[in-house]
Amino acid sequence: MRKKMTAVLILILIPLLFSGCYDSVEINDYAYVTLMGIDKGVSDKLRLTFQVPQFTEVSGGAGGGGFDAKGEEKEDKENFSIDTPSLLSGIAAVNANIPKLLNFLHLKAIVVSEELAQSGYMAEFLVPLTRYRQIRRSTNIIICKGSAQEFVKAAKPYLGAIVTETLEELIERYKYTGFYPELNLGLLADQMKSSYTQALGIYGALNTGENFKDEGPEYGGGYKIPGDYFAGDTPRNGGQEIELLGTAVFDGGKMVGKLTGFESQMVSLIWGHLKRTVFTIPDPKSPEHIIPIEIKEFESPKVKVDTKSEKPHIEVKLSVEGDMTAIQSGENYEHDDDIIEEAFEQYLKENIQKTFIKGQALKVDTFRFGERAVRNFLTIPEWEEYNWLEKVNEATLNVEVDFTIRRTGRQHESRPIRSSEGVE
Amino acid sequence: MIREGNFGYHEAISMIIITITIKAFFSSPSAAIKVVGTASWYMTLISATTAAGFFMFQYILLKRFPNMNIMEIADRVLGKIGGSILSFLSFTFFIVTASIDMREFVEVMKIFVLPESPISFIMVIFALSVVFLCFMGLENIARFSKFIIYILAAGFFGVVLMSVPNFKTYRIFPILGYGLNKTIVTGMVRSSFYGAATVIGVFAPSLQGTKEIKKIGFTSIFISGIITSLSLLAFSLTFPYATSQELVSPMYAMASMVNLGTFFQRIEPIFLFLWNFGTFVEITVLLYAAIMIYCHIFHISDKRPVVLPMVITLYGINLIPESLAKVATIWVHALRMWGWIPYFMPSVILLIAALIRGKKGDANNA
Repeated sequence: MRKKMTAVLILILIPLLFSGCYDSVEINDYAYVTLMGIDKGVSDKLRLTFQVPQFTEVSGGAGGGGFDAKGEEKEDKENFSIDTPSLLSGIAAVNANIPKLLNFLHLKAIVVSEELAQSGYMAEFLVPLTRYRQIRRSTNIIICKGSAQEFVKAAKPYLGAIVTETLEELIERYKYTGFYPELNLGLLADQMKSSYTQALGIYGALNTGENFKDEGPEYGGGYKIPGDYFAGDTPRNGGQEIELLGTAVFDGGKMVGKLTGFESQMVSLIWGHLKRTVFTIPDPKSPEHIIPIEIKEFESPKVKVDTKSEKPHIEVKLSVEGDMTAIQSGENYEHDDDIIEEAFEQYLKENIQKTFIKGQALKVDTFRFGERAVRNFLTIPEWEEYNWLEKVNEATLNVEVDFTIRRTGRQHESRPIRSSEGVE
Repeated sequence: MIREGNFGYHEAISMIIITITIKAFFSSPSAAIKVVGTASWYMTLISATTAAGFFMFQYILLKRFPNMNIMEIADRVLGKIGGSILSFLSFTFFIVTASIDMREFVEVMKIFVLPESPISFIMVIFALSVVFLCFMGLENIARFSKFIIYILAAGFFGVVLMSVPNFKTYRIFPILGYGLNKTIVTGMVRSSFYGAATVIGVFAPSLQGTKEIKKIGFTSIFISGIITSLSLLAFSLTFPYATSQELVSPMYAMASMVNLGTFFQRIEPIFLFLWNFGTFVEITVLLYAAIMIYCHIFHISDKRPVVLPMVITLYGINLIPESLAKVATIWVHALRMWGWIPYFMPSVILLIAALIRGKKGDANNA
């Protein structure tokens, strides 16, 4: 019996080996595309840019760039750009000019220019890619300011990592910052065809340090919300040129607007996606100073949607806990933390409302309240007839926030700073 | 001479569960979601309950005619000509079902794994393995099923568990899908999904009596119902109803979306393993049932000379549909919507005829 069983197993496994022999292709026969950019074309409908890193053992065994033995940055990669009417015809044209075959099995992200996303042609081109077997549904989608071609060319490994790892880790940061949402090809297709919600994508840009001014008058503008920028606008210098910050907002297949990094955080808070993050509020007693608050514990937000009345009404209850990490003014809030708690609650309420209204102006359910509203309906025809995506624009929102300060860092007391003139 | 042999409760249940549930890995879930929307995961439980109700007729029939298979019962109740006609219809249905399921498997294999290989090549290799399994005989097929069901179950539950992070509960709402009436009617019609349990009638003499047959039939349908419902629930939680009806193989798509950390990704090979082994068993069981019916009709005592021609017939029928779209939208759809008639009705007709004509099995066989 055992011999027969073994024979059966062997016979079943043999077909897999046979098929491998029939159409086998060596790994070196392929050029693995890790990043693809899509712009509006000049000579044809689309301009596609493919980044192919060189997989070698030279750079720390990882390949695809990084640092060589001398500690110099190594960028073994090639970028191809082609104007073409479709992806497959573009691939065919590139394949005719290189001694390898382009392969997309390791494609990490597709970068789409903002211009193309706003034209509505993006959906026409991208959503059908879910059919193509080499491109996975989990491939990330980034909407970039300016040219996708330049964005792809600027992608490089960071501190010895490989390009794919750098990109993957950069995108994964959304869980800790909330500055942009998660979007992959599968989610894009799901959300664009969904009756529950609309697509929200990662917004990126190149930040070459132009906004970082070395000289000029000292800043005196008062409190400024951290992260309230779009990608590419942050005043910073150094690090990766690629910057992900903000949310591209879609209605159907067309990009209709964008949220700043801070507004994206408000959205992430309501989604319950944030694991921990830092918010900075103005000091209630001394508005020229700020208080950074680290949020660590989130309860799942409680969302109720009333769809019985003519205009839907949404109730949100948010419970968060956090720590005070600094008190610039030196006020003794450790013994009076109610003031901070109330100020932070008010801060979140106002900004969630503002973001919600901005979404309504764009005719988009940015907070995905549709995911909750659908529970009020028993059948799909009832739900589709209600047309939530239209009704949400008339909805009213009430937000309740319950914030508790759990810890005050390594200090439980703030003593004033003294100088020769006394207490400052 | 191929020996049917005897096999027990566990072997039979394993064989039937694999034969039934493997269909959930192909286009059937998408087709069900297209009709009932978000209600597919409990619609299949209605199908299982209906199938169990139909199986009751077969069980009562087999109890009335102990130690006889459905072909022998047909001969006794309807006479040799009437019985042969009914058996021939069943034979045709089994071989067509096996062919269509094989074509679906091969097409999906070509889309996802072997895009460069000609379809005929994949079919020939697959058919050769089926020939070998058929030559091994029914007892060995059943024992092989018991051997691999644990591996298949581990793989299946592994894929579902690893997909949990992609689950979103709102996707199963509105809970009644396209309406309760539609769900109930579709659920009853799609009882054909569990129709493979009726091979018990063909293999009855190899089982250990009518009590065992009862246990095997109902347990197989019950477990298959739970597994199918679980897989449909997993698809519904992973994909919104609008996109899940577009997918060729939601299970494969679900497996390919597993992304646990930066290095635990791309686990589809586990799924391929389930796919290949499960389909080998399913096609072989259906083909073997067809061969047994054919040999009975034409009084062929040795099945070996029939195996190869039958596999060639299987291969030939495989080539009839023009494309995967035709397989899924015409052939598989027809099998699921109307399959309950050829699967379950012969037993119902035979039982009614036996009661009217007062036919019974041999008393000394009871």
